Amino acid sequence: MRVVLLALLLVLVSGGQVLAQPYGDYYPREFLWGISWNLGIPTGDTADYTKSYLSGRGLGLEGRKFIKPNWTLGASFSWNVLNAQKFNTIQTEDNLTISGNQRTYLNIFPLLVNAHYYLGYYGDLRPYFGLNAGAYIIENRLEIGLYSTQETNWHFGVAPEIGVLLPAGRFLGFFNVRYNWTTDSGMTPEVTYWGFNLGLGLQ
Amino acid sequence: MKVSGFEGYRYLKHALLILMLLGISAVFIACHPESVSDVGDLDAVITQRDSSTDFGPFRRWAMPDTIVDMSEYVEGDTNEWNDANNDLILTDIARNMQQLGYTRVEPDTTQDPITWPNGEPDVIILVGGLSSNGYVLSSWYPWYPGWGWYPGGGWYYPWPITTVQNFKTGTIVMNMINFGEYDPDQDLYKGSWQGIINGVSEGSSASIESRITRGIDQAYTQSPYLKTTAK
Repeated sequence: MRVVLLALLLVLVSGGQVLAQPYGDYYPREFLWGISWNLGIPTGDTADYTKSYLSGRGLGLEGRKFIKPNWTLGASFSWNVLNAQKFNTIQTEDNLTISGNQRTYLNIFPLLVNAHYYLGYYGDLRPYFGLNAGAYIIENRLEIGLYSTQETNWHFGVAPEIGVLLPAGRFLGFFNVRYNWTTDSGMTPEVTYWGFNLGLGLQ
Repeated sequence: MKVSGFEGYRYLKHALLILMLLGISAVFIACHPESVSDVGDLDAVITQRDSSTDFGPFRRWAMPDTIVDMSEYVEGDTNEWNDANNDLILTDIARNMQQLGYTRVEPDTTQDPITWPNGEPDVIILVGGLSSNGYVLSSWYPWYPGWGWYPGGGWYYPWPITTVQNFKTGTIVMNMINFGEYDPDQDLYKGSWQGIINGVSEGSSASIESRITRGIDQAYTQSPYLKTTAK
């Protein structure tokens, strides 16, 4: 997490330098950079497992390069936590039953490359859609009473995305929705969740 | 929608600061953010059964009136078992066995070897307790050593060394052995069921008593297969 924090501070510092510049003419930039606050809503078996409805613990870093006026290729790194507590839950594996206060945690770190198509023109409000794909590093931790198990696995996953850019000069706000799906890996089954990401960036 | 550079600077500057605060706050919230607000949150009850054992035909059961201090048999930073709640533990176990339909039988200890005037038990429950500064029990042994009887004294049986995990806690272990399945070559009785109540050494006396009863009841609640159908 220190790495993420450091990256955020670097973005803040670079943003401060840009903010000090005069407000000249704008021209299409090749790159978009952004940070985001990522909210997650698990679905399907992931929701059953975590019993989590909405998690506000998440951050994202985003970089995209325009290869055509309406197309970008990029990469993103983010972090989402899905967690919850359940009381008196019983799990049975073979002939063993355990009950107690159960705490589940999924720490999800997507490392994705992406492609996006944008409607409209530079400087306008621009809806877009795209596809993310890559690796999801998922730490799966389960605690019941004083007992705990934890494992970390790499999963392949994809995340179709729709969103909108709200430009303001060299700055922009953005909001996007991603549906994340990963393969199963190790003892962790498929993970699915909606990501609602609210961000700010530079272009 | 187009926004002028000055407006963009003004609004996005504030938005950026707000987002940064939210983001940094999220970072400083731990990866495992749920907190434990009560020691009872750390209690856990584990039960395990021998899948080949049919408990339905069982009818009689027996239990020594002592709880073995397992610290003598476990390596690690252990404490002497606090026997203040021994009677409560044994009473709770007896109540649950009665509710399952079992009849308790007692041995005649004046005989050597001991005899069972009201019939031999089908199962015997051996109870152990461990108070430690770093370990909870979490093991299952399919076979248990036999035990002897000291005439005029109490029950005696050696306790198996048990695997432990690294937490500060107290643990009650209930081992139900099948009195009818004895391996004379190894002098071992087959274990049929095990209940572990973990986390009982912390909290006030009233809290501990309440959690002991709740834990033992939970062990039986989550083991409905123990119910006897014998008349």
